[in-house]
Amino acid sequence: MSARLGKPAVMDVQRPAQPTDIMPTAQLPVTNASPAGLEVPQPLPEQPQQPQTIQQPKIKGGKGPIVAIILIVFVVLLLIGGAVFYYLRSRASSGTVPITQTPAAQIPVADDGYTDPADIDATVQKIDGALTNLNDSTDFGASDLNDSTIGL
Amino acid sequence: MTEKRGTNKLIKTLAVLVLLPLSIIIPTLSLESYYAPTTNAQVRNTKSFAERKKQYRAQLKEALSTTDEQRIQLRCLAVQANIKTLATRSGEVQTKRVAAYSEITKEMDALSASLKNQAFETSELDKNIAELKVKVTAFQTTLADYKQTLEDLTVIDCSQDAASFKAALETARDLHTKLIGQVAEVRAFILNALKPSLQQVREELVSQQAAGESR
Repeated sequence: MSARLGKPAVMDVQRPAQPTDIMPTAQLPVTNASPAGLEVPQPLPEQPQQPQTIQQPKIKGGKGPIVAIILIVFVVLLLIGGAVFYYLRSRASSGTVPITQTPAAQIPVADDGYTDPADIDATVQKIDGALTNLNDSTDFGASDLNDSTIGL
Repeated sequence: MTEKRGTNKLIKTLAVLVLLPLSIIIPTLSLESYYAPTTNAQVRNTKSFAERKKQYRAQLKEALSTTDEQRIQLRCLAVQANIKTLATRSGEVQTKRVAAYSEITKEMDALSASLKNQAFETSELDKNIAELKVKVTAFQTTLADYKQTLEDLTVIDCSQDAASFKAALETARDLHTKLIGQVAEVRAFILNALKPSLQQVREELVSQQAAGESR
């Protein structure tokens, strides 16, 4: 576009209706032939004023890209951090059951603070109840890992 | 023209802002979800898995015969499926047992604390509680090792590494036998040591109460 504007053809002035694309400037005659056949150099018609190309305001290359890059890096780091956090959290939640015991200091002392035989009976009952729910032979069967049981 | 350029640049920047993070996040999440079942079932880190395999092989009592090796290579995939079921079950057992033993020790701790508050002599009871805790901790350690070994068994490349598979299976069997013993030991201790000591405390409390009423 700017190349076309920069080199206006002479014929463009005489025939402004002609689009320059149809008649390239290289083929335009610069001289007119005289009737005698002699070539008389014609004074060049006054050059039309070159159309002023609109100077585009140059976007200052300094801050724009830097801000964009910083923004991109920030967003990328944020998302990576989020992904890592999500991954670690999902991995931690799928871990095994914690086997730590409650420290004695954190255990609330029973009822009114005075222990009587009934409290002992209640404790024994709770222990029995907890043990009743555990079936040793089912939980750890003697043949659990036998060749025939596992299909080996 | 300038506006068009500005718009183009804005679109490009936005495209980069959106596509670049997506190009990182999507593969990360898809890889995570693809490998999640393996990593969950597997180990917490691959390094220690390699170390454990080495340890299993070191514990192998006798070298693997060619017949055994071929048998394992032929059937191990089906075996791994069965062991996976067993591993899941052992996880449930772990949760249940940890809760039950924790409840018992918690009750005992609360009782001991309450007795101490009323200046009751609890040294014998405390000794039994401490011993129970040692036994429960030992059981939980063995159970965790057993569960880990079962999980390792499901991820060992048994068709290529039959020796490691066999060694891990032997380890799992040893731990299983140990667990049966420990479970029986904990139960026996509770029934034969802890409960009698509680009974003794009860009798002392009754006699204290009787002495208080007679005054």
